[in-house]
Amino acid sequence: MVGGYAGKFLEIDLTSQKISETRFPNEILRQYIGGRGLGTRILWDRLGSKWEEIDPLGPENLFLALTGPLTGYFHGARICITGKSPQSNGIIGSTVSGEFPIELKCAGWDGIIISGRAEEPIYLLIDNEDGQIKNAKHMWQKDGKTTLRILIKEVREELGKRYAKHGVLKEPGILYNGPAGDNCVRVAAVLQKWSHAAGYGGYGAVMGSKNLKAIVAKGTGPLPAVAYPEKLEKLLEKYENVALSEERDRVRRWGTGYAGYEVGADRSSEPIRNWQEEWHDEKSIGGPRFDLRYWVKRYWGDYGCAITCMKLAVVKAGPYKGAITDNPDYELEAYLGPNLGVFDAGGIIYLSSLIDELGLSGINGGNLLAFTTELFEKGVITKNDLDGLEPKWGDIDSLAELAKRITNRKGRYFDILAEGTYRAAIKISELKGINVLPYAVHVKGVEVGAHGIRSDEDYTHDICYACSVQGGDHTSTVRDAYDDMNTVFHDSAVYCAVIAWGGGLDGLDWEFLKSITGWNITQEEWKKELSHRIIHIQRAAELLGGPDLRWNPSKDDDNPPRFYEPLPSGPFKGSFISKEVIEKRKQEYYEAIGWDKNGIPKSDVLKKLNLQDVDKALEKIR
Amino acid sequence: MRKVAAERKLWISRDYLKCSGCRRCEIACSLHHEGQIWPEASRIRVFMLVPGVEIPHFCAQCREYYCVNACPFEALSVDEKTSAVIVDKNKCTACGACIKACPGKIPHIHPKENYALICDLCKGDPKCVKACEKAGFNALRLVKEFPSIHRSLFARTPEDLTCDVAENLYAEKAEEVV
Amino acid sequence: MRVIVKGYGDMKRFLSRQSILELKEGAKIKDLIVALGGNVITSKTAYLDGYKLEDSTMIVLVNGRNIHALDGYDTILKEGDFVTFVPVLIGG
Repeated sequence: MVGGYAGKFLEIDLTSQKISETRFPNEILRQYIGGRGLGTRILWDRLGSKWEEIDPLGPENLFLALTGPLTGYFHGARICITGKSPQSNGIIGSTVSGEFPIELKCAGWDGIIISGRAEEPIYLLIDNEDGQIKNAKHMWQKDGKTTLRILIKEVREELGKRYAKHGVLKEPGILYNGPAGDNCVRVAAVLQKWSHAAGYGGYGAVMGSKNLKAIVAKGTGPLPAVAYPEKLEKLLEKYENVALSEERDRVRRWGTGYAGYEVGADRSSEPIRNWQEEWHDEKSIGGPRFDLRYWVKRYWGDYGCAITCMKLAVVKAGPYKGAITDNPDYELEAYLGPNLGVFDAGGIIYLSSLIDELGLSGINGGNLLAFTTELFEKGVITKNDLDGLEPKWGDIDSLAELAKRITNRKGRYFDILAEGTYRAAIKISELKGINVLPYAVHVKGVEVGAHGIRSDEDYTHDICYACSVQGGDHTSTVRDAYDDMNTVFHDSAVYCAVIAWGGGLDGLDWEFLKSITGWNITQEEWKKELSHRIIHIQRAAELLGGPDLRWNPSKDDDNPPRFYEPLPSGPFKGSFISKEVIEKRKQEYYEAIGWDKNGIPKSDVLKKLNLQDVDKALEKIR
Repeated sequence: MRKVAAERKLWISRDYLKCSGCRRCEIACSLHHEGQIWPEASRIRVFMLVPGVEIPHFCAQCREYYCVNACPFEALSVDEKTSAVIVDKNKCTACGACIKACPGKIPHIHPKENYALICDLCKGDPKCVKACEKAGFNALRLVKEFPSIHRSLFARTPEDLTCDVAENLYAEKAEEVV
Repeated sequence: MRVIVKGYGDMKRFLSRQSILELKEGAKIKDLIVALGGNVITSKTAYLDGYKLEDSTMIVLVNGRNIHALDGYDTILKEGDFVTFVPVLIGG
């Protein structure tokens, strides 16, 4: 077996309850690596021929949780979740950090492939080589903290009996859903450790649609052997030196929390009140207020991570006493803060912990809350529509209640909103006879990450979302079809990308790949060939879409309407990116990536990469 | 046979509230002893029964040496220099008597080979402490001190330690989440 | 010939948001960097006022294409080309 891989994947069909194992030829692993890349290949192979017909929330969709060869060895364990996305109807690789991937690999599995649908709520228990389906009725609809508590206790008891001779085992790794996922809310995330989430893509809803509440793994073996163990130890030291270097000090000390002030005040790209503005000067949103008042742990990290940029925030007094979350991660700081008109640090922690418990994605769910609040502000939806609820900017309690009702789907409008910003916008436009799409800040059904493009000051420029195969996902933005491929590598080798920010890695992650697998894959080969296959397949899946929506590049490779409104305030007042520039940049990007003038992957490009089946499938939309 | 030491001995001082959960101590320990990254074969294991409450669980080198005294095969002994417990792989039968005897249930059996795993302080140069210090967390520090009865207060189960630390971090909410 | 040069982030020290630079015919990216006051050390490394322009810290684009997908610092420029310097920020 190639170094770094356990060598097999666990296959479970929930309909028949059949559990088996799958292996992939080395050639496939070398081309697609793992995580997002391999997931894309698997999805295309198994569902590609009838992609448009597959309902993401139906039994035919697959739910994949895949590691990569770097997982566990390089910095900060993560696992990539994918499937056909209920948001974009394409393929999105969404990663979440935590110890689950470590337990999975130590159990002897590189990933899990789940198909079908269980008749009743279940969870999966993977105990080394053994996989079992267990009843989860007693956890269904329970919030995140309760679910995790029940699972850890129950599984530890069972494993304790099985491994009684071994002494006390560490707790298992757990991937789970909150009630939002259970209710197939399209902005539901897949969670670990209370506050870590794979939010983009809406895969919590896929788990929920399969009646799958959680996946629990315990592995008592070692991480798979690597090709050059002596080199690995030296590289681990090199990694630590980079992680603990001066340049990384800011992210270690503050996480991405410092961005809450900077992205607004300095870069003028922070969402405020559903993106109506992007500049603010609210000094309490940033590191220090959270640090001094709420952080009980300043360095909190996942397996193997020396950066430990996360923080543990606890509200100890006041109306939100008892709120616990990992905070502030910038995205949630912005989306559950200024974007909702909330400028109170304690309130943001509370909303963040609520979102975690409900199992909603902070970005996608937060965007939805703001969208709803703006519609209410503008009088498009009424108090009556919302069963008496009046969501207002900065009114934490009404916003919290809104999040709960959307999660529960009880009430006609909450049920509609639970379909995500874009789909809700279409339905509400229909019902009200007013076009509310201008208020939907999404790209291809995926709510946009908290980095705007209008000021042109942030790392997100012009077509970064518009031409991405992952829509509004700010961790997969595009620019030049070359450097962009770094993010595809992060998601496929599966490791945490924080260390790559600001440069200075000097190809260290590539050295890891070589020492672990023994493969001689260079950055050039990845950026010019291997990653392109993944992007083209994701593009094909995105464009074929279905069953309820499909995207048209001329219309949908674009920024949301709001991003064409000139910024109303701040040092970049009046700024926006014109349609002209967008069209020019689109064509530049298409040429760079090998798509035709209509944004469809070119036939000769696909054939050269041996993607004939993708080429054939795209014939119908060329 | 144990005797009360008349000289300073090594001890790993532990500060649970500072543990970041990076688990590089586990990685360092298993790389050193097993040559591979092997979480369950590490002599120090970071438990996280409640998110945010990371507990590095490992031998307290308590003066009582309950484990050594309980071993029916004389497979355990005390290193005179470091005061660490040393397991003789050849004599150990993995009977589990040491686990039962330890108030903290700290020893555990190697997942593949059949012998008890107990921290041996890496012959006086513990790798876990190095890893922790390098990152500046100082949740683990190497000290030299007269072994006191105080050490046995750290021979506690992960559940027990979790309850204490959880209350410190989460105050009233701890009851709900533990 | 004239090329348009745009700099983001730290690069604004050398360029106003967008400037027009006059270069001789057939000039390459490395000539442009020299014209801005920097120098090119190897095929992969250039410095601009002590600021290292390596692949992972600063992206150099010509008409939206990464120079390393073209001819690196030897990429030949034409009249009206749009050169952009983008520091790698990313964020979470």
